Amino acid sequence: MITTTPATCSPVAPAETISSAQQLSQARGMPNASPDAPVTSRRLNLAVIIPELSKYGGAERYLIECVARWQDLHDITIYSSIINDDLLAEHGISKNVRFSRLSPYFGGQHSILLNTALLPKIWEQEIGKHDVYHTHLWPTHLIDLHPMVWYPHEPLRILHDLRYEQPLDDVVATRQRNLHIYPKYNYDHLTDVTYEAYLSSMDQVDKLGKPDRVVANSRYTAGYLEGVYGMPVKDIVYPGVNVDDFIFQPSDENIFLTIGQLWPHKRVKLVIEALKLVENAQLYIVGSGPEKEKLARIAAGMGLDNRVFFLHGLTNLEVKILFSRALGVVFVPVKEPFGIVALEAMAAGKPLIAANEGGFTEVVDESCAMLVAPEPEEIAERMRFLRDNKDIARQMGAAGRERVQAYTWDKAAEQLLEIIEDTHDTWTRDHVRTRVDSTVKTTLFGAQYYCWYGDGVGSRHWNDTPSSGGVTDMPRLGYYASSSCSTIEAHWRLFDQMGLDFAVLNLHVDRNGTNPYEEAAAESVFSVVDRLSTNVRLAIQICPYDCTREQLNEAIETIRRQFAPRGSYFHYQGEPVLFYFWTGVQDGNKPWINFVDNSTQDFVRIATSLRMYSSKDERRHSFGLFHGWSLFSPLELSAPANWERVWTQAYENSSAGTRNLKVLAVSPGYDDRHLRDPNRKTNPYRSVDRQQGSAYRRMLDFALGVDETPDMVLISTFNEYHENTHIEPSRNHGSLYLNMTKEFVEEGKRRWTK
Amino acid sequence: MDQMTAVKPAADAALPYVLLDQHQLDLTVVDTSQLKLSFAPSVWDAELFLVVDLYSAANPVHPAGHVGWWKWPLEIKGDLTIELSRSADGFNVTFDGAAPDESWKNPDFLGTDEPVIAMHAVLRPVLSEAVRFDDIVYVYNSPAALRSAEEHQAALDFPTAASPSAPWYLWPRHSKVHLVSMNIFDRDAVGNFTFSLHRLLRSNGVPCQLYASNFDPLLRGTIRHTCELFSAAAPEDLIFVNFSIFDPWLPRLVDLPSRKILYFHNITPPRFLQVYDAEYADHCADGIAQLKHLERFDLLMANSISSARVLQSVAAKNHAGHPPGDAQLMHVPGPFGEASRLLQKAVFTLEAQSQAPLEVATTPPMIGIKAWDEIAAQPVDLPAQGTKLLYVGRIAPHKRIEDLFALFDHYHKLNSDSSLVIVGGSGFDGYAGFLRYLLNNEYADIKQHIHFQDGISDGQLKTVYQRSSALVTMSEHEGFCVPVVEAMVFDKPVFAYANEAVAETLGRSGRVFFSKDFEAVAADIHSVLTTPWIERLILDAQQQRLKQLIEQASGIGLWAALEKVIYRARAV
Repeated sequence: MITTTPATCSPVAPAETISSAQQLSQARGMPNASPDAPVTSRRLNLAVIIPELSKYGGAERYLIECVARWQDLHDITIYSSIINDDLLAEHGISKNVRFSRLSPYFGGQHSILLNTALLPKIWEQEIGKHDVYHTHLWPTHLIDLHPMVWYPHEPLRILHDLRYEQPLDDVVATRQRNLHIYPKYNYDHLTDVTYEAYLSSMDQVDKLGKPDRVVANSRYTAGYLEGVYGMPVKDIVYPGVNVDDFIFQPSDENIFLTIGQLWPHKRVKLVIEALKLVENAQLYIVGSGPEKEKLARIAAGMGLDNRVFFLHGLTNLEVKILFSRALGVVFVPVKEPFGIVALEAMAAGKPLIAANEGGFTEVVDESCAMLVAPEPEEIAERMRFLRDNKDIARQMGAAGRERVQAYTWDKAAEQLLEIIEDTHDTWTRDHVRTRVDSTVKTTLFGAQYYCWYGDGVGSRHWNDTPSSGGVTDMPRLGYYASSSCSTIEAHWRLFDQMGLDFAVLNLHVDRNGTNPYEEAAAESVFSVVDRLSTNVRLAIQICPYDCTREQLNEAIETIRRQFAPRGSYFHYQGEPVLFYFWTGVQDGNKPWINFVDNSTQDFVRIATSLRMYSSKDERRHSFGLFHGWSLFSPLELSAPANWERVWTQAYENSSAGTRNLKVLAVSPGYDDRHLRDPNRKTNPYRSVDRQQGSAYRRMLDFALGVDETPDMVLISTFNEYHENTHIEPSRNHGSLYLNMTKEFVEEGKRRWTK
Repeated sequence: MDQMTAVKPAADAALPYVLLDQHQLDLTVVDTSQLKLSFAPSVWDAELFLVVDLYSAANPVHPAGHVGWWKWPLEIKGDLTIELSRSADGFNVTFDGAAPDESWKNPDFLGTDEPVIAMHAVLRPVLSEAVRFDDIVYVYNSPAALRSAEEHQAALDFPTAASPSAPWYLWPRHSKVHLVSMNIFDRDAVGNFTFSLHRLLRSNGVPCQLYASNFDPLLRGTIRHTCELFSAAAPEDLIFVNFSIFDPWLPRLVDLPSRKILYFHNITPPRFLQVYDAEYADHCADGIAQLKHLERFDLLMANSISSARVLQSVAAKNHAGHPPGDAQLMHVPGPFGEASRLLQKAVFTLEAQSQAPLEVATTPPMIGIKAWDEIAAQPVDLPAQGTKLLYVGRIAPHKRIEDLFALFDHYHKLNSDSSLVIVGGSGFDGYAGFLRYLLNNEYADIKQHIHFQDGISDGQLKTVYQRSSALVTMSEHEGFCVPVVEAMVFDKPVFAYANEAVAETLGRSGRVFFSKDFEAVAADIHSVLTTPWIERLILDAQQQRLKQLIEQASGIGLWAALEKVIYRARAV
């Protein structure tokens, strides 16, 4: 039986190790961990998921600031439908963090329902296997992947406190309701008649999400979430701010600043109305959104077009300059779940005039903020007070800057990571069967496996094309579909019966990219095998033909994201194994080889080669790309008289691999004479008679007689019918090769067990 | 009422305005003076009220320099006479002999001891109270102040210095030139050019009048409010518009029957300014939008090829920006309808692309290189260090003064006996604050080696140039760059970021750099200034370029433009 090392981590951190969150605090020089404490090597394969990552709003900032601090501790993949590379680079997200795009929001009729019910399920399919999933914003909690830590920032407010915040004049004029789902920039429009029907449907779907842990950004939000979802929300991690990034200088100007996206519930209109009541003052509004034109119209109608200014698309530095110029910051949204602007005002040393509701009220006090009823005169009175009492404004600013030191991104990132790690540990302890370590104690046996067959003769790869699709034998299972669950289950019963340890799924990449059928069928194989009670693992063999580097990279990314993290993926000494079908076409192509090397660093790479390899010259041809070498088709290289000599040479040349892995390839025969592909005509060994098993016996005997114990034996193939290399029970051969293989494996394991 | 000089109504709206019958009010002898107000018809189309606002001319701020305000509802159509009287209780204003509707007098500042009072006539809408029109006349309490103003105006109206050029044609007897600019102020590039052109024309006997919306009221008379142009411009006249920022009067101006020239000084892209002065940035953005009126001018001019390209680009966009809608296309029924529609659109696109670029005449925004020989050098405080890197120009965001700091930070490491001298004023308080922050925090180590000079005389500037080692500019937007020319005059090497217009002014002389690699630029400056033969090569090239500029700046290009518009057909 094969034993494997978990790809990522042990289920529970041993008591003597410290968590990554503790490492974070150590790195910051915090006293809660001794510098001599043993540091665990535990690295989580962490998925961070957010619907869009394009602008620098509160949620995006939260994610970016945390990932920037976690990136050296864990293997992180960010999933999003939009990814702003510049934004991430600007904030120090390194190239070690992987990015993967999710499908974008639906548009058009009923899109709001599709985005509620369908899109999270599509994302679920697109997201690879990870140790833990950390999701931001709505509706990522509807992605059914576990363990999941959801940081909602806010529930879907349109269902609750913003349900009746629609400007009725717009509703009456357009006979439609505008729905806003953050972080979407534009509205979804619904007819007034169907508004409640949509909301009701969304409300029901919304409750189906079952994240393992929900983290709120304030006590206020925690209470709100508990009310909405009916579950306790115990974890609260406040956002932070980078105090040192702000330009701290008192302002002599009568400028007030408000920052936020221009949605109705941000109540920027109130601030404009307040400014009207404050002579000799200006208002800078930073943000954009669908309400901008309306707000500009309102400001102009009030004669404020030379006192109210709308700015957006500013750099971080420009925003900080604006903060430094401001006399005060005004922030009066409707029940803001948190409101990072409050922290930013404090960091910039500016007094805050804010609505007396929302999460941020938990982090300010009267020393730095004036909380008021959201009414223009109330706001204006405080603005006039600051205008006329600049000394007090400065004192309040200084007090805020002092107070905000308690709210840093370092702290937020540490607390949140602790929750994520704890959630992972708890969930893993409760749900995951411990996998046996695969420290190799015996030779591992595998077989090349092809999942490119369609359903029935004449369909894909069953006599579909005379050039490459012809078959002369029929499986005992009939002309099966590779993607069929019953096929896969039957094959795995055979694998178990033969005592094989792994199957190598071939994935072809050509000028059209990754073969979509193979990719989809491979997903089926993995899905079925994941559920089976089997120890037979799966690896991918990538078979590049006339593809571009980008196409190959995409295929490798698919393997890394979609397959390698699966529980049933084949690992060797703790690392996932990638087989690479090496035709020799890329021999000496250093840029190509460097590219493959860089993009497959985290795999054990084994070449299955069409050509003979050399322990002396391989560095010149493939520049040490592969950790191990084997032949793909050992019967095709020479006449039968020379077989043993060639096989011996191949086996002795195993040191061509940089890890000196000894991989023996065995094959029952070969015959592709029925294929009309002209390229095949030049092969002098295109027909190798099986001789009722004699050829296979000769190979197996050779294998059992090698001096040095092989690390792996690779049977070429289980089910390649076009070249008649299959060992699968069939009409022509019955179970002969299945039985021979079973005996061979039993004998090999007996003989080679260390 | 708070003082507000900015007027920014909706673009192209019919602007209300009021004409004042006097350029100044004289209270040097008597205590009462009258001013007649004639209202444009547009005033009566809007619900407005009139406010007379008095400020100290020297300190026009609320409340310290605010004398008071007097409000009058504009309910009856017709002219209005306001009477300003001075007494021991301060100033008072009546309207056609009646008391104001509302008024406020500052109990802490009567203003009667001020030599000059600024009297604003302000129109505000009843609903919003935003300023829709604001014009100023000075009220003179002091005979000396009045005499000084009159002398100043006379010097401009009757120039005595020789003109650098003369027209080669007889100026038509009845044609007058109206020189218009949104702002006309001394020590400002556009203002300097406008005054120079005014002097060139007047000294050659060409009748010429200056107009602006914002100007020093001391010069009222020599400069008139732009709204006065609408009743003054005749068909045989020529209107010369200096355009550098949004001008609310432009849509009305282009409708006038006179021939028209637009001289484009370029407009600062608002992105540079928005966080420091959003109002000004808005004016820049609105100014760029007003370039849609280009085709209403008989001739377009620009201060550089770089600025001309901006006009050509706008004109191309204006043309290409309106492809025909389907309704405007010929409808062909049947199976070839769609093909026909696409073909017609393709033809439009090809035609748009094949348009010849707009013709724009370029001439530098200088008329005669300043005669520095005639200006006596005056003492000025300068740092003691041996090497002085000099910047001359406005302290404005697009001039990237912070980049000068960064460059000097590197340079000072190579040459500790050095200083950075920055000559220029700042109208951007926010930007000045940001620079202060940088100096106090990021550049605290070199702060004492960075010197600012503002408001210095030409004689002092001459001294600064003479004692400097090199002119350095990091500016990222210019229309031209006069200080570069001045540095050439004083034979100082110029190191400049290769902004298009600056590079054009340098004309392959000086030393330009295409990226802001401060360390490399600092090393280059150090290398040039310590290697005499390289410095000499650069200076020789600059002298060659200066000769070309002197020739171009003689005013010949301007005379040619005027000839073209006055004597030839309007179509250019």
